[in-house]
Amino acid sequence: MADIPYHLFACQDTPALTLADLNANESAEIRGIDLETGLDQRLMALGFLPGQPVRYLKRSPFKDPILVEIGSRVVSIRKSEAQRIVVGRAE
Amino acid sequence: MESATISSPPEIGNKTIAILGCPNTGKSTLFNRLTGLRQKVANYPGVTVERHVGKSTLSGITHDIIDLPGTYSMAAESPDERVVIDALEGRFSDDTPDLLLCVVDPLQLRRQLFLILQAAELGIPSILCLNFWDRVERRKASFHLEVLERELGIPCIPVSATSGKGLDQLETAIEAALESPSTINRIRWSPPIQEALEEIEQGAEKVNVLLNRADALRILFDAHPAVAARLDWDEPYYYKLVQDTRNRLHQKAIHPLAAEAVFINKRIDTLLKEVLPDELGLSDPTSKRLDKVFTHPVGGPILFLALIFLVFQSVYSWAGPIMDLIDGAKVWVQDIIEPLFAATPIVQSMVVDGIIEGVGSVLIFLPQILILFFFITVLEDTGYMARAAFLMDKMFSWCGLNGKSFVPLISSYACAIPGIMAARTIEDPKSRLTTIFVAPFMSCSARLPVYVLLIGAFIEPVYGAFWAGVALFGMHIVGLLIAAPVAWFMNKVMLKSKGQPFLMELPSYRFPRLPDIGLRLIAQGARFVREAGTIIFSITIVIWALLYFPRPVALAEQQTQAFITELDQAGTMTAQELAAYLEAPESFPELEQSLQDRIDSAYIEQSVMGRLGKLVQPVFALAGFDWKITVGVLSSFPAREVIISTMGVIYSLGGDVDAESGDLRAVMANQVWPEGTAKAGQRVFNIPVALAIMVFFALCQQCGATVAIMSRELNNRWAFGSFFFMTGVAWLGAILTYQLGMLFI
Repeated sequence: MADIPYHLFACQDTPALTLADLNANESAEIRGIDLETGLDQRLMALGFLPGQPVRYLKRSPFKDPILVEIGSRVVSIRKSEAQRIVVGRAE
Repeated sequence: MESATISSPPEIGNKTIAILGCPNTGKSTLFNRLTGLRQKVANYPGVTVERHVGKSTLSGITHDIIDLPGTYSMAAESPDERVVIDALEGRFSDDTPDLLLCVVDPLQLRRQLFLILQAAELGIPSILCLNFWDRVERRKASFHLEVLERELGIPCIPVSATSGKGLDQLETAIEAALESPSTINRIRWSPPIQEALEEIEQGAEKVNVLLNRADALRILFDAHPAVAARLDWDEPYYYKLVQDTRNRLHQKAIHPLAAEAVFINKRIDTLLKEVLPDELGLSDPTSKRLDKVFTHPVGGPILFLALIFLVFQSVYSWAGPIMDLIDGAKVWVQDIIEPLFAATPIVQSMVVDGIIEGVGSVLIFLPQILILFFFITVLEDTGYMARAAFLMDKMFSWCGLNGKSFVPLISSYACAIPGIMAARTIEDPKSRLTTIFVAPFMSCSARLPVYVLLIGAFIEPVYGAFWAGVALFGMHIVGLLIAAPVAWFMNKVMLKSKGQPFLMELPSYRFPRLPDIGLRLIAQGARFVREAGTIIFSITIVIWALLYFPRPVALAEQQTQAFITELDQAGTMTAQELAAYLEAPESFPELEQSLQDRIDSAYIEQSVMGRLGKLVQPVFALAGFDWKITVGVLSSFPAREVIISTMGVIYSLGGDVDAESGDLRAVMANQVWPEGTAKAGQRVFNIPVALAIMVFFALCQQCGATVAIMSRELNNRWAFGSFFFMTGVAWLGAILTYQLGMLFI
């Protein structure tokens, strides 16, 4: 079955701050996810949704992937995916 | 109803109960608690997802329990998720389950209710089981169970599957729910989504496709709806219907891909505000402290390597004695059985050299598999494996694999079979496929005897112990050097993988439960023996037959005659001694043995395999192999370690030689090319030939059990693809090694 194309989702203010740009232990709020494929549904099922607070914990010894805290759980995510999650620093 | 006899089953007999939940919710522990030993592992038809089914008896009635694979959502991306939907919609042989036992970790409710609320659309009667309830009690969290029950509309039962607390209440609740079922309150979708769903349902109806609400939701929301492919309709029609519906949603400022997540999460938000008001203060402090150590930038990798080292030390040192024991038992059984069939040599040889040898060669893998799986289960159940994958991911991502490939690949250095089985922990199917495909390139312990024999015979005497060690190390690296580009090529070119996202939750650390580990080991072990056993067993019989037939009696007599004539001419025995030998051959065991070896060797030379060896030898001529080496190579396709004993037979030393055998080394070193060949009179074995043989063995897929396990874990196409590919690579490698060796050495 052919894939059905999608458009961007809530990602207007480029160049935006992404999850990958945060510093260690920095918190932020998810503003949007640059949607491309169905795999983003997994991101969303994991709780990466607009409005959710997220915290950058640390990166792996080899710089990638990174650990982030979303809600009360710790998730490992590669930088390439983290770069598609637009965040805003908490005011 | 007048007279129901006691023996007749009551109305509510034999229901199917499916356990649904995210990974790390203690589903398997609960499943083990409910079923105990009455469970088995198989595969779902057509996919490599494990199907755990068992039986549980509640108040005298036996029900079927299905432990569905753990999954985070119903968006069918991975095979696991697809299986969950298909099982819940009754697409496998069994019907739709009668009851859904939804398992959640109460402290991870926000994330885990997502799956439960998706499943609600199926309208299957359900119970919510809140596992790890002890954690809620320990943290003194205020958890409003009654609100959750009211909002979801189903019974919510707190249990601690590990300690068994609350299981009685759960069983009572299951029985009650089977009698008076209740379903989960569905999400109230907004009017535009409601309309979109109806549009899809009506559109399907027009082409006589009957969609239930759950299917319609998946088709509307998923990027690659797996259910669509299951239904029988015209692709362009389907495509247009979905596209139009989604476009209309989009015009109403609702993104179809995000809508479901947004809606369900909004619902979870309101629900959790009441049920678990202090949710954010509940993250696990112990896990955080442990993670400071285990994911430390320096300490983390060091601890990891130390742990893996410990695991392999244990696999080697614990499995070794048990393997020797199995081998000893095999020889012991062979010695007992052998005289029983003395009257019929064909049956004797088939039973002793074919069947018992074959069974032994399967069982010999069990200790390593079980010990390695013990450690893997412990590392997984404690939650450490996710940390290891996090640490190692970078080293694997460049060639399309991910951190979870590490354990399967390093395990394959002991034995590819547990390694390939361990690849089940990799969710992404492409990464899993690639990992399994390259796993047999890792130099397993069965290759070691070949290296030891050849390095000991040809490299150590010339270059000394240092270079012998270098050669041994090189043989262990050569497979890795080939595997990395192969993995890269497979992922980027063949599978066109765009680099799958590697998203992984790091679960809270917890103590593993011994019965869970035990049950898993028993199930895996039984499965290996049952499935791989049958295949390797039949291959062994075939190779035995090829080495045994044809077997003209005249050949033995002819060889005996030649042997006596040679003894006579050699003049090492006096006439009396010779006469005594001919009178009573059994009193000269050494002579009898060398005669027997000579006969065995002659039989092999004219057996089907021997002829095949001579026929195929030109293919290996460029690698410097003669027909004897070729027979050794050919007959070790079912199990590479066979080469040592086959070489022993071919060189008339009997089958009982081992890699350290000085005799075998000496005989091999003295082999010369026979008259009439291009290299007549030159030695067969020189350093380039020895290296070529080792490279061939390092790269070749000479293991029936691995092929069998690959065909089970992937399919026949990949298994045979791997077999031919590795054989080709090994052949080229051997030729390259020999030719380069002849130039430089």
